[in-house]
Amino acid sequence: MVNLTIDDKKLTVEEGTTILNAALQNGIDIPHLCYHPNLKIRGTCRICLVEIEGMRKLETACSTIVKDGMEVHTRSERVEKARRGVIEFLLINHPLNCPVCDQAGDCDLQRYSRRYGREHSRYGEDKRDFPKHDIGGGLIRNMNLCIACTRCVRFARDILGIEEYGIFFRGNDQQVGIYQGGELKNAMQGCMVDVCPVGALTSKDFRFKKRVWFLDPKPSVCQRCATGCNTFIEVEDNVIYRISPRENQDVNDIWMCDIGRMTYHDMDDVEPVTFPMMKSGDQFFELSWERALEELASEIRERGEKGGFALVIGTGASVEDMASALLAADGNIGEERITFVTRVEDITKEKAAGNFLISEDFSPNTAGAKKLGISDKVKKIEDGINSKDITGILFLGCEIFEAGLPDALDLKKVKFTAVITDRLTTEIKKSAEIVIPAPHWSRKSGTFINSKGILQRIEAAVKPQMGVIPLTKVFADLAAAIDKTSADYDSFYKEVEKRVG
Amino acid sequence: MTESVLLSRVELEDSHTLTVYEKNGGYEALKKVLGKVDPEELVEEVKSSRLRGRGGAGFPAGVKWGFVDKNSPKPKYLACNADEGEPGTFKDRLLIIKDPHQLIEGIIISSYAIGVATAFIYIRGEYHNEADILEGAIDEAYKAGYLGKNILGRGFSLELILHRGAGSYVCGDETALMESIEGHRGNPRLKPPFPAAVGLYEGPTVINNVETLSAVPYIVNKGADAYTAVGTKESAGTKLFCVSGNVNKPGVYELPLGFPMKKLIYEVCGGISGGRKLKGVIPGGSSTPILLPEEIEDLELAYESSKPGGFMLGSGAVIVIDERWCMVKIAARLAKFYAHESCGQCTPCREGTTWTYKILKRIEEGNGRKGDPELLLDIQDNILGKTLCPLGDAAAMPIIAIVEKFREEFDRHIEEARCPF
Ligand SMILES: Cc1cc2nc3c(=O)[nH]c(=O)nc-3n(C[C@H](O)[C@H](O)[C@H](O)COP(=O)(O)O)c2cc1C
Ligand code: SF4
Ligand code: SF4
Ligand code: SF4
Ligand code: FES
Repeated sequence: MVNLTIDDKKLTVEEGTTILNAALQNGIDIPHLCYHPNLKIRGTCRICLVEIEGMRKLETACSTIVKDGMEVHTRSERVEKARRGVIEFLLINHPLNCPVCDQAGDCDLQRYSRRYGREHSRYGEDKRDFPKHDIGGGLIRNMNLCIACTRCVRFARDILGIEEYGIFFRGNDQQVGIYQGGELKNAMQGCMVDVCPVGALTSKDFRFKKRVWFLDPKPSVCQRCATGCNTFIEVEDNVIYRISPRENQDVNDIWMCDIGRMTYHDMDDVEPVTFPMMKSGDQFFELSWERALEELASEIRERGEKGGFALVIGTGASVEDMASALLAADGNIGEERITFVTRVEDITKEKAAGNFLISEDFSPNTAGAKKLGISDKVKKIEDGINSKDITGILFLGCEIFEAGLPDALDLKKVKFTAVITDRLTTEIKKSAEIVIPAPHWSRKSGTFINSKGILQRIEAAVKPQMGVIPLTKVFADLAAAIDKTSADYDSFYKEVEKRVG
Repeated sequence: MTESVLLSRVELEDSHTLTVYEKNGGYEALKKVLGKVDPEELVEEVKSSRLRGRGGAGFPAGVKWGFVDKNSPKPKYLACNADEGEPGTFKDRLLIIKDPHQLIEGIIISSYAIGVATAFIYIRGEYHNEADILEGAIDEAYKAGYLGKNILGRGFSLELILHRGAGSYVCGDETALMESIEGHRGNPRLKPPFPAAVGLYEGPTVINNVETLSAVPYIVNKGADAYTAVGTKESAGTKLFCVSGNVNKPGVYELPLGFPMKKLIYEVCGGISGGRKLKGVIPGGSSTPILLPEEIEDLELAYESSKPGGFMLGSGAVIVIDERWCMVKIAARLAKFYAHESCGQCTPCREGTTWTYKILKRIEEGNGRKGDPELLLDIQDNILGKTLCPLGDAAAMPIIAIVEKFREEFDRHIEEARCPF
């Protein structure tokens, strides 16, 4: 441990800590722009300069390691003048058009300008105007706003290890970007936007959709793959405007991939399911929850008796969803008739584009299924279908259909198919007799276990839609319908909790 | 005049060839020490010669070598700085063109002393001819067994690589130079760590100027005592001075350190051309603050005469300016250079140098505004001591000196809204 004082405050910090981190850990704010906790330290913006007793020059707090007995001043007149100088330098070429800039409210330069900027600029020359140059990909680059902190470059170079993006030209003509005619191809472009402290890089998907101060960031976990990146789902009035990464050193540091970031568009062009439905001829018609569950229960009861009913669990189910499904199946669907379907994808392309997070297991809860003892028995189910032993199937989750059913499962041979889903796809329309609504992933709570075995609990970010109820309740009602009793939620949930552990 | 340390062979015909070099005492120092003298003893010898770096900062060479961890698990490197970018400086090219083997011998001995197996010469991109000559000399040295495996059969091996720059002043800074050798954009690195601890390819690295390394064979041959017999107490030996501007005999002169500036201008260089009056002297390359005639009165050209903001020996490039010149124009010209050469990574230098140039250009064109000189000084203050590498200081110091010492010229430009010269 090292003892030092910052602004007369006595502090003890761990050896090897920088002055900046020592200050931040102790609630002392030292302005910083080029410093980013997850990127290599470059010490170039020079706004973090501080005065250290015994040192002739001001030193950068972001790069200077603390020493025992060090006396640091972060508010002296010398320091403040240097800061005002840096801000003035950064602003001479900056358009300062915060009112029409998408970064406003989330911009370090704006924040520091208020503190250290002058009321009137002393700069009487022309501002520089960079030529427009589309660098492709999912972001918009506006070099006139760039403060040359190189965070984006360090992310691309050091974190992604991709050389497509760099600094061009020298001095005041310096630009960040990609060679002429090239196109940004990496799969983590959202992170470049995240690390940019100003509005020089903005996301095509998000820009000008919403002022950031209206957004409520709800902690969540990405459910696109088994990595389970921690996220914020940013909402206003129950509408999702963007997904951004949330720090978790054990899972995703502070990054997430663009595939995960875009998942919130998954309902854009699909038909949501908000009430139970049953097929008659080619048409689905709405029916009450009671009727729907009774119909389903009787199918399970009758076909299950002879071992003719199967339960296929897809990727989106939480541990609680699965546990309650198992509970409802107890005594009605045999263990060898219950399977989990993982979705394994070839991710060579994603990896090549710098996606160092994504897992080839595209289901967020394979480990959760395993914990509950549900394994992949697709082969057995296939045999059962082919031998006509299985005559009915309940699918939990629609992803199985989206990804293309496992070839083995030939639903034409199955007499009765039911699907619990948040959306109606062509495949489901073709195969299902009964459709039961499930809440969208952003609208439900539950536990997921990622590929590293880390258990992550998620709360709903958006309110459920009218008529859609949590799956634990659906299965409690289904269990009661199968047994022809009335549902006892308390003991059902207790049993679910016991299984979840 | 004292014995020549560096330029003893420059007058000889074909002085750049191995034959002429060997005939005139070349590679004798190497033969004397390689495998025979303990490397540490060599470092001590160079320490006691008090040889100081000739690249500008004047840091004692032996002390710098001593910083290198002898037991470093990573390979150690030596890089010879032949970037010679400082405006007004043209001494290293003379040493390269006329006596490349002296430099190569200095590099081999230094590498042996430091324990280096790979050395580089980083030469500025504009030096085509110089690079060709060095390339030829390096080839000769390899063929003659002075470079490569098991040199002179004494068990020491050294690879020497000539690396050409791409035209950037900042690559003369030792850390930018290393970035450039490694194939990156030539941006200076944050210090610490210093190159002697973490340098090229993360190994301990010594960077020395051409002139510094060229003095090593002499020191080894004649001994540290012979070297310290010349010069002053804190500035041993001789130094090359490049005199340019309005003197009758501009050129490169080897003189003992401590030599009077006035004598250099008025005797060695034959005085101001056309018998005109002296207006100012830039004493050590464009980065050093200009001196007024009265300031050079008793000035000795030695490191100990240097003080920040005042006289600086720098690279030894003396630029003499006579009465005809407009100082605003000179300031603008200097500012343009630094704005163009700023690597752009740190804010005060990137923005400050360009802004400074824009203001100076405007004043020179007759569009100066009241308050411009104060603004210029304040901008320099916001650059000075606040940048990542010394280029920021190098850009700010000369402007401060010119604005302060020639303030009335700035005021006249602004009042008359034109250049009065
Ligand atoms: C912007 C800048 C440019 C420099 N250019 C040169 C140069 O052209 N040649 C040189 O020898 N040193 C140059 N230096 C100094 C080097 O960084 C380094 O101090 C020197 O090469 C060390 O050698 P020495 O100790 O033998 O002088 C420059 C420094 C800076 C900051
Ligand atoms: S684009 Fe943004 S992150 Fe990149 S250098 Fe400019 S300001 Fe920094
Ligand atoms: S890596 Fe996986 S969990 Fe992470 S953001 Fe991408 S898809 Fe989501
Ligand atoms: S002072 Fe200038 S040259 Fe040096 S690092 Fe900063 S911007 Fe680059
Ligand atoms: S935050 Fe320290 S120099 Fe930029």
